[in-house]
Amino acid sequence: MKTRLRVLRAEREWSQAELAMHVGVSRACINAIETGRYDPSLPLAFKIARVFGKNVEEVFLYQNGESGNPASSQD
Amino acid sequence: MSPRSDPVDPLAVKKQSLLRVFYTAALGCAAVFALAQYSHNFQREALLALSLIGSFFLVWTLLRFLRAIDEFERRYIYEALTFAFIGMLILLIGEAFLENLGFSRVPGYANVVLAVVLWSAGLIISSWRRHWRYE
Repeated sequence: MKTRLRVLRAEREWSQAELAMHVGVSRACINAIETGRYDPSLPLAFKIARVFGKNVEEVFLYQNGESGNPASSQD
Repeated sequence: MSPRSDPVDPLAVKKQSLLRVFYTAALGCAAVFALAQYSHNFQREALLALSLIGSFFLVWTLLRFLRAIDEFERRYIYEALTFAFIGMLILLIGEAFLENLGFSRVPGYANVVLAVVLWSAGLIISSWRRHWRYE
């Protein structure tokens, strides 16, 4: 799964720790999501998207089988 | 642009203090239990009761810690618990085998100490693996 977390975070000038505090998870968790080494659960993905005022598909982009996935064309 | 310092994460502070309380209580329980072995009559019973109450507090602290962690950390705690469970299984089988061969029985409290030690070792190993993978 691809994520726009780093870009969205940079737009708000938030550090990973600040985002982690807003979402209520550890900084290591945000770091792992950002670097694509951990896929968040659906509730956490929604929570992160809500913090940025976006939809989940605007923050997380599913990579496998992208051909029929409208979210993949947004990046 | 001046470098910003990250804010203090209250969740991280809570988790650290819960772990600190857990290990302090574990040491306290072990000390009281050891003291009870050298005491007699009423004093021994009172110390054993105190260590039992301490054990309940220990479990309660552990449950609070498990509730405070996020889903990412849960993966690593799961690894640590798996490590401790398999380690305990191997040790208990070994103990039973040696007991049948005529060796003296390992006391129950030693197994409790072993469980805590194995869980701690699992935590150290999984946090080391996490550091190695992600940092």
